[in-house]
Amino acid sequence: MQLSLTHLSKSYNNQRVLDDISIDLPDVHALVIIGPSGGGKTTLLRTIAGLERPDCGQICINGKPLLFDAASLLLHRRSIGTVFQAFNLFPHLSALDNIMLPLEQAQGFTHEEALATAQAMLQRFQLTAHADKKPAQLSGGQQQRVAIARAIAVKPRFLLFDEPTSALDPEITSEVLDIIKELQDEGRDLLLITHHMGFARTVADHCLFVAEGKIRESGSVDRLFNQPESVQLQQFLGRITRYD
Amino acid sequence: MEDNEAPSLISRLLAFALVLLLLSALFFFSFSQLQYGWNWSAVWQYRQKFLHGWMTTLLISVAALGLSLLISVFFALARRSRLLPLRYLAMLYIEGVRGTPLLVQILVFFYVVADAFGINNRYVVGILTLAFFAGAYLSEIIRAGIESIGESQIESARAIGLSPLQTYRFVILPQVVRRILPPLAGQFASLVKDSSLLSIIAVSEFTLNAQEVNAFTFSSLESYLPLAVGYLLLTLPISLFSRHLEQKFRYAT
Repeated sequence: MQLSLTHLSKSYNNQRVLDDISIDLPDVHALVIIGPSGGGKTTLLRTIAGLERPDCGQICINGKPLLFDAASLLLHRRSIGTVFQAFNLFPHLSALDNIMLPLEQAQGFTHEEALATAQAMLQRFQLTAHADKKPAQLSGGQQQRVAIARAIAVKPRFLLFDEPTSALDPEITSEVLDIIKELQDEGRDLLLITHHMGFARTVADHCLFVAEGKIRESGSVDRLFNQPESVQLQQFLGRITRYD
Repeated sequence: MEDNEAPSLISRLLAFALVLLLLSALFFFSFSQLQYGWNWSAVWQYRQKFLHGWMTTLLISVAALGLSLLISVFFALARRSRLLPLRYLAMLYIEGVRGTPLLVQILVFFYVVADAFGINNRYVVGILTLAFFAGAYLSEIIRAGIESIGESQIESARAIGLSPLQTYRFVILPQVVRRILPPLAGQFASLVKDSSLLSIIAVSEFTLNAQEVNAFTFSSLESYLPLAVGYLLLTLPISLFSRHLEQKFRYAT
């Protein structure tokens, strides 16, 4: 996919979260965003997801500028798949119904089509046995797998992951990361915020280091990890890999 | 709670019987100390009157209940509205109604407001007053229910492409209904009992009829004890039905 951001800015209560971000990525398939907490990477992802309106600036995806009126943003959100850290699923709906809800209500599927698609998704992620369970009856890893199934069931243009494993136990983490890797191997475009540097190395074809509302460094994962230019990135990598 | 094993049927029955026995003993003792010449036959002659009053209370309550639900949903949403006049209207309505006695509201509504607008039917006025009275309490229950749904869920709903209306319909409403059922049932039971105050504007409901029988027969307890039973017959089904719905909508959060 092509992704370009031009002079993107966003403030909350006079605090600049995104500070005049510009970047042009003509052909990116797995973009990994790293950076310290509170540095603006989540806001950046949410803006690309159509969940936040920037104060100014432009986002262009595959040559088409994103419009920020409510109707355009709704259509934009319907065309992509977003997975958050946790609490993605609706607690009152079964796993199956969680996947069916956007298909029926936002994608215009008939009930039968939605059911067939949702069942196929559950089967693909080995969740068929859990179809009728409510989220509270599922493990954290199973919940995230359902959330990912829900996100890809709508055949999104690309997928956004905001630290999808940060709320999971380490041993469950890999089962979710495996799926993301699998999706990438299928040729799906994805944007991912993660703290798993090893995983970032495996999937990313481009990496952004975001801190203090700016893109401090941009390049291949190897370049960023092996030859960090800024002091901030050096310190960040030092902290994050200290016990690896 | 959920980790504990549920008590067996036998122990539940025994415990229930024990409590029932103790309460019965208390009332049996109290009544036995009473120097009172019971005269049930005088009241029995007026059983049709009781029945008529009970039916009137039932109909008024059902009408006011349905209407109050509509009113409360409107004001609960108005209270959260971005339009300031709408929000202030809801705030004034809720605080005004909750802060003043129903008795005064009935009198003002009947003798002043309804009169000014030419509404002469006291039953209509009674239903409207009750509905607006209960609506204020209900709307606060509904508002609290809506606000108890976490921000992350509304966020999820947006992310999967639901419109605001769809978010209410498929995400917020089903969970709110489940959460507010207990206080809702309590409020409905209150509404049924509060309808007794309509007797002061001569709405011929259950309490007024009991009072009249009391006046005709000079038998106070014999008129009022059936009143208690009659109201219980209306309020108990509400509790039981709400408990049934709670079980039906049960899910862990």
